[in-house]
Amino acid sequence: MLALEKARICLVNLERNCVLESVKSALESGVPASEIVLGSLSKAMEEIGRLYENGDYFIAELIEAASIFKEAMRILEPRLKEEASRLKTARRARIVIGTVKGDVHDIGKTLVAIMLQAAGHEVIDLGVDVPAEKFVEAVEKYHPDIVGMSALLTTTARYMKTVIDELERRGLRRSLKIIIGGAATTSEFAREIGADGWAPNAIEAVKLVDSLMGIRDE
Amino acid sequence: MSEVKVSVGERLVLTARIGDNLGVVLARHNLISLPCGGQGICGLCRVKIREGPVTPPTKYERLLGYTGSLRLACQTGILGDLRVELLPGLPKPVRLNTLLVNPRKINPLIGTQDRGVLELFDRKIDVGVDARVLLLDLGTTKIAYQVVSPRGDVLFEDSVFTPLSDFGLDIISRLARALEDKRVKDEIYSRLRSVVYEISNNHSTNLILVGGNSVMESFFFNLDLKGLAEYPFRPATNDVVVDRVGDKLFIGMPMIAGFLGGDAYADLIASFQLNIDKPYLLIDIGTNTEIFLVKDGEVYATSTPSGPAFETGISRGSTVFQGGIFRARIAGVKDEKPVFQYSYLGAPTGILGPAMISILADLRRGGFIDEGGRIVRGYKTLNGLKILYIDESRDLYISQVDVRNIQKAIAAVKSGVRILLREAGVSKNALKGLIIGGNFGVNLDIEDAMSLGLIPSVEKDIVVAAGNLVLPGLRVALLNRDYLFNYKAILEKIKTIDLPKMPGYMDLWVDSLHLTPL
Repeated sequence: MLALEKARICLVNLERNCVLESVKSALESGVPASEIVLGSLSKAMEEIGRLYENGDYFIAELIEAASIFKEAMRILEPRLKEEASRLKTARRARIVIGTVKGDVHDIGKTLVAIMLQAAGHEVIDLGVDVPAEKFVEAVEKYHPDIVGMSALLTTTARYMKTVIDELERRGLRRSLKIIIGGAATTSEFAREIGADGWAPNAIEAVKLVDSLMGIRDE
Repeated sequence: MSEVKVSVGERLVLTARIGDNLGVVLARHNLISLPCGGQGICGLCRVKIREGPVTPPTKYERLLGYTGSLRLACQTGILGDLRVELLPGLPKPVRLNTLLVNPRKINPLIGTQDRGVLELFDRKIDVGVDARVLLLDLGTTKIAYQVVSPRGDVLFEDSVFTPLSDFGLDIISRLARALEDKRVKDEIYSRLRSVVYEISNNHSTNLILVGGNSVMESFFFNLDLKGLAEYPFRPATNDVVVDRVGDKLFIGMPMIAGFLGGDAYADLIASFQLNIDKPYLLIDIGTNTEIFLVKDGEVYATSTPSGPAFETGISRGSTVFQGGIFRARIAGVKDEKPVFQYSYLGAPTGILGPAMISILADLRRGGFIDEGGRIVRGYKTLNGLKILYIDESRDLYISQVDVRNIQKAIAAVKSGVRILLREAGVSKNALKGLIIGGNFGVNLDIEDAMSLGLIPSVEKDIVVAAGNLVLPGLRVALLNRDYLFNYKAILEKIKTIDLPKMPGYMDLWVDSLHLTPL
């Protein structure tokens, strides 16, 4: 599986053309699209995540990796549909995400959205300064699996509880998972306000979503 | 070495050598004092050069307006026989670390002819003929103060810790605690008041001018905090705050916006009185960095969180209160690893922010770190993390994650400057001045800061590290009351920029993470 290995290494090294060519040649030689995603690209993204966590890679690299991954996925998408792969239906979560009311910090939340999309999830980004009503509306409209909330400031993080309370009051909480993040939050805070999970960065957010969706690496 | 004569006044003649510093020569004979130790910032060693060749005015003299026959002795080199005249009424020696900025127009808050009666808006308040005034810079970590006479003579200067560390080291944590629990708000109020009362009583001052960041100032005056907690971040009031308790009168500088408090207002009005051409940029680097771009008739302002990452956000960081390395350079390379030479205060147990900037700048120059901030050579790996030793015997190092945190802090300032320049339509090369405010800037190596893009690369000659500008600003308001009475006219000229709301901010921020000059 030379092409698979090449695609993985090239993605880790952020070599866009090499990734796209390797993906194409793997498809041509008959490798199932699901295997390219699972056996190569996802592994590369995990490796990139590790590089990010020990600081070797930084934000620009993360954005670039996500962008290459997305482009590769566009090539694979039609084949994945044909294969009606187990992988695809199992892996994909629908996530509504936003920075809570009173807070206009965009960068962390956007990074999380980019990484979740790169990992194959569907993300509906509500933007910043999002009031509880807008979260409620989005949940009613899109029926997501997960709602993600971000806050940079300690003062605005408290609003996450308001959103959770409101979702509960409307009876929308039942099957919905809620995850939070942002500089002002901690795992204790997440527990305290009744969220289902917390992540310190975009890489961990992807792992968190995977574990909440019951996706494990084989 | 050729000897020259320095005639002082009518009778006294001193001998000196060509190249001697005039301030040192005069101070050696006890004729003047050098309150700031010859840094050129306090402006108290001014003398009149009657005749004779001297070195041209330095940056600080130009800034403070001593470019004619009136010069600062400590900034003046002797180039030949001189005749100088001492100025009468120099205040008694006092240790100063603050720029002494004199307003061009004098319209004192306490008039001498009205016998110490202060007219404040609709009130007349008698503060006494020989009143002393306390100027108070209410900071997140430190309260800096000066005791001055109504004419602005500085009688004392010092600082104390802000006694609130148990409520968090940053203003946002304190704000959150105070909003959750009214008792915390009350406790903060009473602690701040008692520390200020103590200072005020020790120096017999009944008039106190206060400038603080919006959160600290709102705590101090017991104002409503809610508006500061969330977007659009507004203080309870933009007016001058007046509070009278017993015989003490507190006057708070107007707060410009949520993260541009009365301290930023003081910074700004101090800069107005410096001899500096527009457009100029004023950057006050602290826990929170305030940035002003001053054009003719217009001021663009913004603030951005930055400070902690230079000192407390890194593995071996330190602050000036704990001491540590304040200057560092790569002296050579051994076994392909950088070898550092450094100076420290107290003990070399940690690295202060300005030294951290120099370390990073040298690591970049030496190719140990690439433009994107990645450590590429000369490192050791510790639990999967790359680290570069500054002194291995003392376990002092900078890690890859530290570099990332510093990059984010630099990007916060850099992207703020870029957006202000963009919004004001001013190109970097059009800047006529760059003032770095705050104590962080005093020890900062300007070239190092420029090489990383923490401050824009401009002619070094137009860059001034001015130190604390809040106290000078309060003193300016004391000497020219227009700044207290006509503050609305100034506030109207300020266009506040909300960085996260600006189009393209994220892309600009990501781009600003590169350790390249701006």
